[in-house]
Amino acid sequence: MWYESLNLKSNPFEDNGWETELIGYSNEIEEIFYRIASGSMVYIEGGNGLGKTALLKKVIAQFKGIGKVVYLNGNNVKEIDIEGVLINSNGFFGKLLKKLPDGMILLLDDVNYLSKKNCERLKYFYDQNYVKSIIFTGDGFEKANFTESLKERISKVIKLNGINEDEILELVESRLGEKEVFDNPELVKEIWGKSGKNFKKFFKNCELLCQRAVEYNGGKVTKKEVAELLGKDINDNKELKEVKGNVVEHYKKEIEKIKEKIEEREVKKRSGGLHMRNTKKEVEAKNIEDKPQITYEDIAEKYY
Amino acid sequence: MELWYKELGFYNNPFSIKPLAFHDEIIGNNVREMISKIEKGNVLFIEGEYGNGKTSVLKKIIREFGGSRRLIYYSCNRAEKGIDFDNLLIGRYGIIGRIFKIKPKDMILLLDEAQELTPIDAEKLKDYYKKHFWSIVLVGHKYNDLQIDGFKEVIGENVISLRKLSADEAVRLIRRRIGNINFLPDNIIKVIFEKSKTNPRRLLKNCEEVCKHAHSKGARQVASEHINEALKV
Repeated sequence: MWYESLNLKSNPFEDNGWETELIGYSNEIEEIFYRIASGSMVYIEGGNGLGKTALLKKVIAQFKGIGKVVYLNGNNVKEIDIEGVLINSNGFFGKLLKKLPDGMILLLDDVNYLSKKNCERLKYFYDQNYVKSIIFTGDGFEKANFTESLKERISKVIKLNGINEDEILELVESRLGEKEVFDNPELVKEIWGKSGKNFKKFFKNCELLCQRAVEYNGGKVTKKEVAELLGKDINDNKELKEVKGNVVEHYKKEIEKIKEKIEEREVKKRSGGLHMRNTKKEVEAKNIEDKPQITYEDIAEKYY
Repeated sequence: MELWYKELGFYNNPFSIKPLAFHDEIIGNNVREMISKIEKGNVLFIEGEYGNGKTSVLKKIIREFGGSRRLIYYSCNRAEKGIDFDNLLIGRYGIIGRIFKIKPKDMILLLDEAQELTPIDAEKLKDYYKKHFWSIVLVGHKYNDLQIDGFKEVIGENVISLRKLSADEAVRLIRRRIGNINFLPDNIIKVIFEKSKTNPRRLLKNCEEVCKHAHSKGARQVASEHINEALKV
């Protein structure tokens, strides 16, 4: 791998918020820990790639030992069965007796998609102290579809403003150690700017640049390469766009095929050819059908 | 990092906004009167603005009748497909009750978030009233917003509006929580109360904010500049 030739054990630009230190958010982390300890609700507001999930991961790392932390991502599902989640988190006997745990810490990532009913239910569990503290994240407190009475109970809205250029330098240095991969610090700032000050994009761009540098340029990222690769944004890169397009097409076809298969079976079933026999393949296919949340873009992103 | 309230000698956050966290007396509202109405078998509707202590009043009623095994507490927003009153009633006798489907009589039903009550459920509730429920207490946001006209007859005149706290009562509320410590003087509580637009829940939240801020500054007593700094947003 490219990072091995830089004497690094793992990919320095991998998103592994579990262990790494979050630079520039020490105040926010302190605030969140305090709110959890004092039993309040907090809303973390910030756009994509500003480190909301990384902050939640920090919370998990801090409180994971006590078995009271539940992490839910609202991005994938519209309806979350909060009651079910809480019962399930209570272990085997809890499930058996349908007992609700107390003093849980709920982390709800990307909650703008939650239904009103669910918000009301959250409020109920919070009032009954089944849930000690709730941390919401999302891209706007005002936009979130919460009921008024839930909003009233939220003690604090923490706005994430991202970090400044010096802090991003510090971050890169902490990731790369002593290795001087980038020609000069200005280059890092330039990449940061060209990535739209977005962590996810920034790390992706850095990884791409470093990989290229190791393979073609003896491990040095120069201005020329940055200009070449990041004309404006990674999405403008023609080569990558083509790859992305191909992957999307490929998966579109796959999903079409699966859909056709399911339809065939349904028709057969109705005409009595296939009785109530759910073959393994059918179940699998249905599962794929059940998950429309995975968009083509998602799949493509994994592959480029 | 030491928490401010622990350094002041509290084990838990004294300004917690959870109705269950403290066994306060209800300040400013006559709970005795409500309880006597329940004992007479009326249907009550308790209305109040956000954060005025609706759920806290319910908790008080629960404590009053606790142990008599006559109470059913239910929050309407938990119901997904209407409320199953039979199931609520049968559950009262445990497993044996479930097997023989025994439905108890003269129960007291507490319905939280009554503004979510659907007309269908309200009709059902009307049938159950006097048959199985001795008294029903509905708690909701505004009585006039209620969509259940048929049920309003049953409620009749028993609509109780929670009234707002006076400044002195607000001080008493906070004193119940924190005792007579010097850290937060009475006049400061009154200022915070005004800034909270006389809403009890907001008062508690703001008190927490101000005390936390004052403590982080190393102050021995909260002063008015701490209020301005902590509540500037």
